[in-house]
Amino acid sequence: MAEVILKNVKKIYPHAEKKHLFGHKDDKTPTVNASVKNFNLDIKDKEFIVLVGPSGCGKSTTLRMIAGLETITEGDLFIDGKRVNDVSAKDRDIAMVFQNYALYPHMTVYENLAFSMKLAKMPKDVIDKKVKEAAEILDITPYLNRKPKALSGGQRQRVAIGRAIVRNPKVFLMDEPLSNLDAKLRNQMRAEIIKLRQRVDTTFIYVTHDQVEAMTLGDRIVVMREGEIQQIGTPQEVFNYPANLFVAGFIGMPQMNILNNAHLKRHDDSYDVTIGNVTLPLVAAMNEKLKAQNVQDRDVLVGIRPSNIALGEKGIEALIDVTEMMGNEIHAHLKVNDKDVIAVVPVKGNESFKSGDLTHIELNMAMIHLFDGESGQNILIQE
Amino acid sequence: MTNIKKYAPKLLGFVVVVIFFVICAYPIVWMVLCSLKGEGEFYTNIWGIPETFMFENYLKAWQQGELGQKFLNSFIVTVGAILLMVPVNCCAAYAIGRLKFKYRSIIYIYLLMGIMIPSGVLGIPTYQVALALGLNNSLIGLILVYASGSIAMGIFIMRSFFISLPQGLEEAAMIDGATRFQCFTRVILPLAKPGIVTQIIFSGLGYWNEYYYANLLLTDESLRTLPVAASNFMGRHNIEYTTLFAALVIITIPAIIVYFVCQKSFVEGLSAGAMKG
Repeated sequence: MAEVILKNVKKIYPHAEKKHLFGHKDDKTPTVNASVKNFNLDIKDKEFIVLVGPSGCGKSTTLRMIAGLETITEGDLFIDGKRVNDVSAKDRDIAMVFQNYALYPHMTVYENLAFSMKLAKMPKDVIDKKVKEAAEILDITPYLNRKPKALSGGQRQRVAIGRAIVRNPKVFLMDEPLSNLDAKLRNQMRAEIIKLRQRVDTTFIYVTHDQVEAMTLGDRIVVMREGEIQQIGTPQEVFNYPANLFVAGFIGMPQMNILNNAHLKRHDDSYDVTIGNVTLPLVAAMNEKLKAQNVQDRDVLVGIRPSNIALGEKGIEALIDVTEMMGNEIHAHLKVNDKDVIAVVPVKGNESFKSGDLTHIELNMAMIHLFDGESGQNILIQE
Repeated sequence: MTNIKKYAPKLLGFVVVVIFFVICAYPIVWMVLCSLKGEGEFYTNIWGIPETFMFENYLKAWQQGELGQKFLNSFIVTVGAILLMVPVNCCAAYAIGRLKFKYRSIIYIYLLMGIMIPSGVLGIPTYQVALALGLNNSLIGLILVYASGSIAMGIFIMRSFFISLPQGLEEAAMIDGATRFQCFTRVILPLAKPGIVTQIIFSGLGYWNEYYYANLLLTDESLRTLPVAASNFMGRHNIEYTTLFAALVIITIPAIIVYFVCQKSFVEGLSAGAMKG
């Protein structure tokens, strides 16, 4: 159990390493490419933090720096109050679950679980007890004498988690642990991780590109892009108040619709937004926020989640492109001012939508998001 | 017609395999058959099966060639060179394959150049060095020459093994509390077993059958190894073929046994890196 603090952490890979044996020798002027830029994060004791973002955003690099598998180019990393930049991985008292499990293929499940304790020269009976306890928790007792190759993906992942929990670490790191599993098993293992978290009760840092995992597992989510933190917040905060266009588009499925060519206009005590040729007044709460920040007229992008759009007789004109019947709801793909928009509408009786039909969309104005036309920042939560 | 099309490739493959089998097996079978013939019959019935099986040729070869002592010498040299060569090659290949340091590629290329130099060319310089160090006419000298001669090939084989293993294994071991050396000995090395077996077989057979350096460096009759002893059966004016063949069979048997015992790992070793792990 420990607090983890990252202060202005930066990772730069100099591209000096030659790719080929007879590669280009121009390694005197290495190109600099910061994979992680000024990363600041305070992770509380026993908190479950999820680093989420698209491939190449630096989330795994950040995790590997915390693990001690990558050096930190700049900044400080503290675990349990101690600066650990120069402490080797083995001395950081952390455990890590890898994306590809990284089980030792020549060892049985029992030996895999016992490996760290054998290295620590723990007594045999203690090792045996801990291994059996972990196996019991993870329901892998029948497989203790098997080699990893004789296990399914889900069982291997359990062993990988077991190998981490036997160590009783200060910090539990997980690098996309479910991404190699099929959808059904992933859902199952997600629930297992939630249970594990309740049982293990330590600090978790979890990396994923899957926003569903991020939303369901994390106490707080750190959304990353191109090595930079875009937003830190609870799943609810990140979903309801995305800091910028990137977070708005990344979190939520189907993703948030962004209507461009919109203009925000201030009147004395109120604001309205014009999308195409339709002008819509903002709700009182938004007016207050914008007034407090003294926001003036400007071009904006309007974000609206698909579930906050209703199809009807009034509102902005839209052309039905395609509809997807999902059982209890319909995903209607629409064209609004030549822009693709998705609306999620509940199934009502025999109501049907045909491709090519003309309709209108009504936005739930209490749930819209306004992003600055230039910076892409959400102007309702910051200025 | 369709049947011919269907089975023709299989048949062709079978014929090719049979031809290769005959090419490989024929000299061995012929050597064994000749070793069981009488000296006279060898000249009159050179290709046929022996009329009477002369097992005493083996006893004669053993005694006349003093093969017991030579066997021991060959065994000491082969095992000694293997015991020296395997750890050195594994450590060097691991460093070149898995650690990042300056001039790693250049060092690797330099070592690989060792494969390209014919061993015969090095005979005289090697002899001079051995003489200067007082290592000529000693089994230890021969062990050192053999082990150093296998470094290039051994590193080449082992490096391909080490780089084919996922990086995550070592990282997992480090997080589990292993030092770099423990990662190497407890995780990486056991997984590279097929590679180690491959280099043991490759080099071991080479040491067992090696004639040139053994003849060059060992002048004392009691230190000589089996291939040199076999050459003693070829006199200036007379060659006792049946006894020579019996000696050759005796020399060959251990190599064949070792190959069959380690065959599985050997094949795995040869195909290392062919598929993504």
